[in-house]
This record gives sequence, structure tokens and C-alpha cells, in this order.
Amino acid sequence: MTFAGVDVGAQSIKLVILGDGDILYSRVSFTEEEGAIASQRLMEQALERLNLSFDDFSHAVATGVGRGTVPFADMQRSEQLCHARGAYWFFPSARTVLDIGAEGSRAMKLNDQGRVVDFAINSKCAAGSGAFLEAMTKIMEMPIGEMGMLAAGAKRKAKISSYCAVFAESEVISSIHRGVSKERIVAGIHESVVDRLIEILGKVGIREAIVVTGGVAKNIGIIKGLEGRVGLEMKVPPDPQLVGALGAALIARDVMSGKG
Amino acid sequence: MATEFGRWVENRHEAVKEWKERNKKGVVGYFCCVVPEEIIYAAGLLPVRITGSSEKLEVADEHLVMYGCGFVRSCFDLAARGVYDYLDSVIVPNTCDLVARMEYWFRAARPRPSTILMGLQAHPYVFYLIYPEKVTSAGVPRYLLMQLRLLRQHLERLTDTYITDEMLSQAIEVYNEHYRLMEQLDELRKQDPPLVSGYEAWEAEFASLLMPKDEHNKLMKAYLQEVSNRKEKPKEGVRLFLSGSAMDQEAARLCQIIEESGGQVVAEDVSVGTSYYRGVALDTNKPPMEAIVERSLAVPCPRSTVDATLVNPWPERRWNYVKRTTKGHNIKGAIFYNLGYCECRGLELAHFKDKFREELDVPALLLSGDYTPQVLEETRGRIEAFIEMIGG
Repeated sequence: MTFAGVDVGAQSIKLVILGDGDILYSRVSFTEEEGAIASQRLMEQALERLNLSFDDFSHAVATGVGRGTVPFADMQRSEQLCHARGAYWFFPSARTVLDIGAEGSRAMKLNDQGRVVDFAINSKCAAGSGAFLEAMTKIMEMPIGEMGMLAAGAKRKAKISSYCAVFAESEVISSIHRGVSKERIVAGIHESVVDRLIEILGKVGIREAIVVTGGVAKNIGIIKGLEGRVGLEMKVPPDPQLVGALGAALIARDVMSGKG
Repeated sequence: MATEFGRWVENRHEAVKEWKERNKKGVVGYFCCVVPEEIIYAAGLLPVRITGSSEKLEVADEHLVMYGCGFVRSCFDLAARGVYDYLDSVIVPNTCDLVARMEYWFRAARPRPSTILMGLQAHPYVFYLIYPEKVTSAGVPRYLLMQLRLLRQHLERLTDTYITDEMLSQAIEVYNEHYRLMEQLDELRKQDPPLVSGYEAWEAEFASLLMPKDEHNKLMKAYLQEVSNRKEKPKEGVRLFLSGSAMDQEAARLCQIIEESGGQVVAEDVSVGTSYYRGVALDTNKPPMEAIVERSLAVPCPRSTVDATLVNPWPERRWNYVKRTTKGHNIKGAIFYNLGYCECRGLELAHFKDKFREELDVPALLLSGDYTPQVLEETRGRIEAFIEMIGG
């Protein structure tokens, strides 16, 4: 049997096709098209590659902010449930899952069976999300990956105290004018994001093992910053941005096998 | 009956004005559940709860700080724009800092002619009720009795009539019946699935804050009968407890969002709504003013504190009340909706969240709002996730 999970995020759409055993296909597509068209196209590409048709699918689950737009979804599930399910599949020891997406961050507390028992979400602004980091890359004129590497190796950090991306921009610019090194500034930027993430984690309570998912989990500066603050290892699955879609596909499989 | 409740709720200003015109009687607006409606009703006046609206603020920003509760800011904005001009008087208690300041702002925004006697306003439009902060100390009932006597005198001057003990006793009878009927509605919500949806129950409750209680009682009796005989039950959903600030006609949309997300509100503790009737009944064996004082002090408002020497001080008193409210309702989750800058409720939420988990094994979701429909709508994703988490 074949199952699909689609995660329609703020910046990208992710698709995971799951067989009875392992992942058959996965893809991330950065698009500005609306969710319905983009998810349909992504699915058609997957079907062509796998030589399958829509009829071959047992169940499809959509998640993400645009989950309501996916035309072929049989069911919708929240990001909290999907990221937790995906993270638990990679790491059955996961008890805390932190998903850092483009426009939202959320922490989930899991019980020993991998069920979500509590969650917390960032407030409705860019603080603590990928959007904040992306806004900063423009001022620093530096790709996000490079910024993360630089932050991870920084010995000292500039103080970026503003929650708000707009005010933080002013702080960064004034640090540049004062001649503060790029390394210290980017370290400060990353620490500002880590501060917000620690707040969210604190709301659900931290229990080992901690798994970080979402596109921002690829940023080494954030991961090192979190590890430094929490004092514990952050487990990052391969392709962390796909974990939500994978979780959705796993939920689709659970539903059909009567476990969901 | 539900339609009649809906008529008062949806067109509340028009409905009250129409009642006033038809009955040639005065209307008194008030803030907060600690104001004893019984005295206003006994004076032959219609007590009406002041609430805000989702309309864009036009005047409030000129006078009030931005970092204030959106509900009170909206109430003031409506008053300043003349929407509440049909009120003959306003009673403002010192419930929270912003509400307390409405004592000044309601007067300043729409000045009314007043007789000045020895430097004091003889017939003030606004009556400021200084309600005790602590509600359990020995001297508190005597103190509140003194305050309520002043309120009684204010209403007597307003109507040019003495409010006799007999008039108060008659009012008490009407209000005790009202509290009984509301408890009966609560019983119907204990059934699984509940016989009324959370929104429908809220509408019946909220209408009682706008219309005369005797009329509401008549409608409620027929309504309860109709509900008990209903063949069609409301949509089933995950049974939830809802607690929140200012659950007026704007914030009550939250009940609908919860229902649309697969939940069903079966019990609540909300400001503007249940919190005013979930006290004790008025004791008919006591002098009426003393009975009113006793009940007013028993209103479980989150702004009140208790004597620090008690074994179960705040917030245990509130927690015990919340726990009682959920009893028999078989709730599977609790949702707390707190308006930004509402310290009264905000300060107890984290405690309640832990208590729900520890004592009732029920998860809780904390939501915050700013009294705009947009932010209320944004809670949908969290509510859906919460209901999924519980297993809906």
C-alpha cells in the first residue's frame, strides 16, 4: 500500500510518499503558487517518477498552514501532530520536539508512546522563526548557511535585544556602524532566535531526547546555540524540513492500519 | 425562545432602547459581575451589562493607553461615540485598573447636566462602586453593605423613589429563580452529547445580561422545556471547558470556532456570562441587603483575593471553584482564552493549567487575544491541534 503526506508551509511544499516499509519518494518545492496547484503538481511529478496513479494511494494526509488547500487529501492534521509523529519515527526516544519553520515555531511534549500531550507556539510575529533569520541575511548580505556557520564558531556575541524583526534590523545596522565584527553580530542574531525558542520549549518543559525539525534545523548556528543553552544534545533528522510531511504520511498509514 | 435570546444579543442596543421606549423606564449600564443587579432591578430599572464591539476604535486611542485591555477600550469607545447614550446611569466598580478609570472617562466623554451641592455632584451619571479587594476578612461584609447602601441611595435619587426592603425581596425572588433556571441549563449540558451547544448556552446566558430577569425567566422556562424534548442533538465533539476574559458577543465567536474544529464547550467560567450566576443563591431568611452582600462576595470573580491567613488562599479558592464547575461534565480538555493585559485572569492560568493536568488528568490550552476578530480567528489552528491532541 502507498501513503502520501503533504506539508503546505509558508514558503515551501513538502511531499513524502511512504510504502508499507520505508520512504519511497520525497521532495521539497519552493513555490509562490497557491497550495492547491503546487501540491497537485508535486504529486503528479511523484506519481510519474514512481509509475503510480492516484488510485494506487490508500490514504493522503495534508498538514501545514495551507493544509486546507490540498485537493487530493483525505484528511488534514495539524503541524504539531505531524512533526511529532515524524520525529518519533526517526527517534523513538524523542520526548520533546521543536519545529522551527519559516513563519512559525512550535514545541511539542511527547509521552512514552510518542503521543503529543502538550504543545506551545510562538506568538504571531517573526521572532523565533526562519523569517526573522531571513530578514537578517539581507542586512548582513550573507547566505543563511554561511551565517549559521559563522555564528556557530563565534567566541563573543553582540546583544540583539529586540523581539521585533524591524527593530532588530535597526539594532544590527547600528552594530555594523559601530564596527562590531560580522561574526559577533550574526552570533547575536542567532542568540535572539534561540532566546525565543527557549521560551517556547520552557512552556512545555524540556525532556530528553530533544528533536529539532523544520527548515531552520539545518542551521548549525541555531542548533549549537540551543545545545549551549539547554545543555543537551539536539537531535536533527536527515532533511528536517520533510519531517512534517513524513509525519502526515505516517498518520495516513496509521489510520489505514487502524492505529490512528 | 432561542430566537428571542438571539434577537436581544444580536441587536442589543436596539433591543434595550425599544424596551426602554415601550416601558418608559430607566436603564442602568454596569461593568463586571460583582455589581449586584438585584438592587437596580428592585428600583424598577433595567440593569444592562456594558460590552464592547468589533468595530474599529474611533476615539479610545486619543484618551487611553494602547497597552490596555481591548474589551474596556472598546466599551469606552462606544460610550464616547454616543452608542451608550440611552443609559440613564452607569455603575463602575474598581474591578481592575482600566475598568476603574471608566468612572472618569464615561463622565468626561459624554458629560451630563448635574446639580452641584457643596462641591459635590448631587446626581452623578456615574456611580463608582468601591468593591473590596479581599472578600473574606471579618469586616468585609459590613464594608460592602455600606457601599451598597450608597448605591441604593444613588438609584433612589435617580428614580426619585425609595427602594423598600419589600421591593428588594421581590427582586431577590426573581433573581433566585433566574439562578435556578441557569443551573438547570447547566444540567442539560452534562448529558453526552449535551442537549445544547456551547454557543447556544452562551446566548441564553448573555441575553440575561441585557433583558429584564422576569422576562428572561419566562423565556428560560419554555426554552428548557423545548430543549428537553429536542429530537435533534447538537453536533458531537470533544467535551471542553472554556475559561476566559470578557466572553461577550464578540469573543463568543470562540465557542463557534471550537465547535467548527470538532470540540463542544460543555462548561465554562467566563467573565460576562457564567461567573455572575455561579455564586450562592440569595438567602431569603436574611434582611435583603445582607443577602445581597453575601451573594456579591461569593461571586467567583478572578480579580478578588482572600485573607492570606486562610488555609486555601488564592488561587486555591478559584481553582476549587473551577473544579466544581467542571464536575459531572466529563470534560476532556480545557481552553483558557485570555485577553492581553487582563491580569485578573492571566495570573491564574499557568496555575490552572498545571492543576488540570495534576488533579483531573485533563490537558489545557492557553490562548491569548486582543479583542479583535482577526486574532480570535488565528486561534483556530491551535484549537484544531489541541482537539487532535486529545483525540478528536
